[in-house]
Amino acid sequence: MSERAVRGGGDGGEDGAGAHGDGRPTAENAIVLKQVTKTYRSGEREVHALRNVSLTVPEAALAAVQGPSGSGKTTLLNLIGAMDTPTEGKVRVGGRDLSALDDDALSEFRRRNVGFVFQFFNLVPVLNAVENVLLPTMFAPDPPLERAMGLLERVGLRDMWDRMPARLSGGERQRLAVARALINDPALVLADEPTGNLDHETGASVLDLLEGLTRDGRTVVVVTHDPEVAKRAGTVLRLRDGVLVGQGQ
Amino acid sequence: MCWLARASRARQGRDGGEAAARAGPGREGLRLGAYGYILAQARRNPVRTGATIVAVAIAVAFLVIVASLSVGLRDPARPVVLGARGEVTPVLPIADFAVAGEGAYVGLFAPRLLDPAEVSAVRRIAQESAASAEDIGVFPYTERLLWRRQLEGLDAQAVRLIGVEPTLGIDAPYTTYHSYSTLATGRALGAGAVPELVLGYALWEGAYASAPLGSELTLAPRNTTWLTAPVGELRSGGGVTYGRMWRLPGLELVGVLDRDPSTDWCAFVTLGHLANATGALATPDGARCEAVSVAVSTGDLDIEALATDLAAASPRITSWYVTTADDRSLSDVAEGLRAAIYGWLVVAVGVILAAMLLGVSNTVLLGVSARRREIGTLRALGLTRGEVVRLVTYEALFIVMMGWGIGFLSGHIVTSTLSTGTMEMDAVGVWLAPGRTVPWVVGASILAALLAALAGSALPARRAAALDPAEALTGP
Repeated sequence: MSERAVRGGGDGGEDGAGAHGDGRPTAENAIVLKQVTKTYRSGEREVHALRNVSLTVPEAALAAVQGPSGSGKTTLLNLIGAMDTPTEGKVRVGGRDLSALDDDALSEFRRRNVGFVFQFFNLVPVLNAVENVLLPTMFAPDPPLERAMGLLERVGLRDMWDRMPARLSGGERQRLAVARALINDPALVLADEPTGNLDHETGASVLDLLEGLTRDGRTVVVVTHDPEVAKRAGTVLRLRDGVLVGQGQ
Repeated sequence: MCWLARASRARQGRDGGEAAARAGPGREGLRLGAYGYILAQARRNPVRTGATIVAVAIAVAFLVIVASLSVGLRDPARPVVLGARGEVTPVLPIADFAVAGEGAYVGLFAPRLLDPAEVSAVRRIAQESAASAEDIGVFPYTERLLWRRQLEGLDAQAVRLIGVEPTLGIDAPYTTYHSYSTLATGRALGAGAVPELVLGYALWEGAYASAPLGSELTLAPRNTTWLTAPVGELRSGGGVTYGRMWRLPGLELVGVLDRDPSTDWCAFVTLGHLANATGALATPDGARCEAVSVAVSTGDLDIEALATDLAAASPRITSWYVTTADDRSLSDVAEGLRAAIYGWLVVAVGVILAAMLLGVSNTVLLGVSARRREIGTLRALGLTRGEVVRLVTYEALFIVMMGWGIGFLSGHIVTSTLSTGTMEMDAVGVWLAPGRTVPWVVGASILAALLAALAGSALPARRAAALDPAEALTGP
C-alpha cells in the first residue's frame, strides 16, 4: 500500500471521476470531499472536528479511517453517510453533492444508498433477527421479507431468523447488523468500529464479510483502530486533530 | 448517481437471491412495518405501557358512564310516555278484561317471602284466568329478566300481572311497580296495543290475614279494597305519604304526588290507569267516586289539559282537581338538575382529557427519551423526521386506542348494569340511565381518545424528530 500526500484541491471532476494523485487512471470515485470543515459549537467555544479535509475513495473499495480518539473519524463518517452536513466545503457521494440536500433529502439518500454498521450493533432488542433486518423498510408498503432472509443466509444467520438479539453472540449480532445495513441494497456501507466490541476471531469474520461487500461493487468505509482492518483496506485515511494527515493505498 | 446505479445493478442476485427462493418464514406473526415496531415497543416496557392503557381505559370508561348517565336526562322513554297520553282513553275496562280473555297472565311471586302455598296460589290464579296454559308464566318476582322476557314474547292484546310485591313491604309504593310494569307491558305489546294492568291488590291491606292470596284475586275490580278514603279528605290534602307516593286512603285511586321531576311520566302512567279504573271502580260501600284530587308533578305538562283528558277518560268522575306538587316549576328543577349534571360532565370530560393527555404524553416521552439511540439509528437507516413523527404518533394512538377499547367496553357494561339495576329498583333509573350507550358517546369518546393521542404525542414526537441522528448515536 503506497502512502501519498493528500491533495488540497480535491480530485478534479465535479462528479468525482478523475485520477489519483499518483497519476494512475482510476475508476469513478465513490466519495469525494473537497476542503471540508466541520465546526461544532460547545458553549462559547468552537470545536473544529474537521479542518479543510479533502479526500477521495474509489468505488468498490474498502477504506479504513484511522486516527486517535477525537481526531474526527466519526464526524467524517457522518458527513460521508449524509448524517451531517459540513460547515464548509463539499461532500460528494456517488457524484451527488450532499451539502446541498435538505434533511428529508439526506434521509432519503441514506435510505437508498447508505448502510450503517455500528460498534454496539444498535439492534432493536424487542425485534427478532429478520424483523431487525427489515427495520429500514418500516414504512415500505411491502417489506422485502425474502430479501431479508437472503441476507440472513449471506451472513450465516438464516437459521436464526427468529432469534432475539439477546440470544445472539456478539459476532452474530454484528453480522445481523451488516444484513440490516444491506436491506436497501446500498452502494455505500459505513461501519463505525465494527470489530471494536468483538474478539479477534469474530472480528476477523465480520471483516471478511465487509470486505466481501466490495466484490459486489459496494464501497465500504470502516472507522477503526484495528490495524488488521488497515492492512486489508485498499484505502487508508489517517486523521489527527481533524486534519487528514494521510491517504494511502 | 451513475456509480450508485451501476453498483446496484452489479449486486443483483448476490444478496442471497437463491436463498430467497427457499421457503422462509411467513409474514404472519412477524412484526413488520411501523405497526409491528410499535407492537414490539409495547412489550419493551409492559408495566408502563400497561399502566397507561389501564389509565386511559379508566378515563374512557368514566367518560362513557358519565356521558351515558347524563344522556338519560333526555331519555326517549320520557317523551314517548308523555306522548302516549292520547292512549288513555281506549284502555280496556278492567271488568271486561277477564271476559275478553285476550290477555296473558304473568304470575309473580317473591320466593324469599312467600311460602310455597302462596306461590301455588299465584300459579292457580293464573291458570284459572288464562285462556290457555301457554299464556301463563309464573316467575319469582326478583327474576325480572325472566318475566320481562315473557312479556316481550307474548302475542297478546293485553297482559295481566298478578301477584304482590312483598319485598317492599305492606306499605310499598305500588306506583313504582305499576308504572314500571305498565311501561314494560306497553313495550311488550307494541304500538297500538292496549296497555292494561292489574296490580297492587290489597292483599296486604289489613285484611290480608283473613283474605289470603288467591281468595282476593278474582280479577274483579271490586276486590281492590284498599282505597277507601272519603273524597273530602283528598280535597283537604289528607292522605298518607309513602316515600315519593301519596297513597290516598279511602279512595279507589292512587295519584302520584311526587316532587321528583324524573317520575312525572310515572305519574302519567299511573293516571292513565287511574283514569280508566275510575270509571269502573266504586268504593266498597257502593258509593262511586265523584271527585278526585290528584297532585302530580307535571313537569312541562299542561295541567288544565291533563284535567280535561282525565275527565274525558273517566266520565263518571265529575270533578278532577289537578294541581302541581310544588309551586316551583318542576321542569325548572329538571333543567337545573340537567344543567348541573352537564356541568359536571364538562368538568369530568376536561379532567379526563387532561389526564389522558398527560399520561400518554408522559409515557411516550419517557419511551422516546429511553430510545434516543434507537431513534438515532432509525434516522441513520433513512427514516425522515416526518416518519419519526408518525412513528411516535402511532405509538400514542396504539396506547390510547387499546385503552379506548377496554375502557369503552367496561364503561358500556357498567352503564348497562347500572341502568338495569336502577330500572329494576325505581323508575328514576330510566331517567338517569338510558340502558344503553348512546351513539354520540361512542363518537365522543373516540374523538376524545384521538385528541388525547394527537395532543399527547405532539411534544414527544417533536423531540424525537428534532434529534440529530449523529448526536443521538454518539451521545450518552
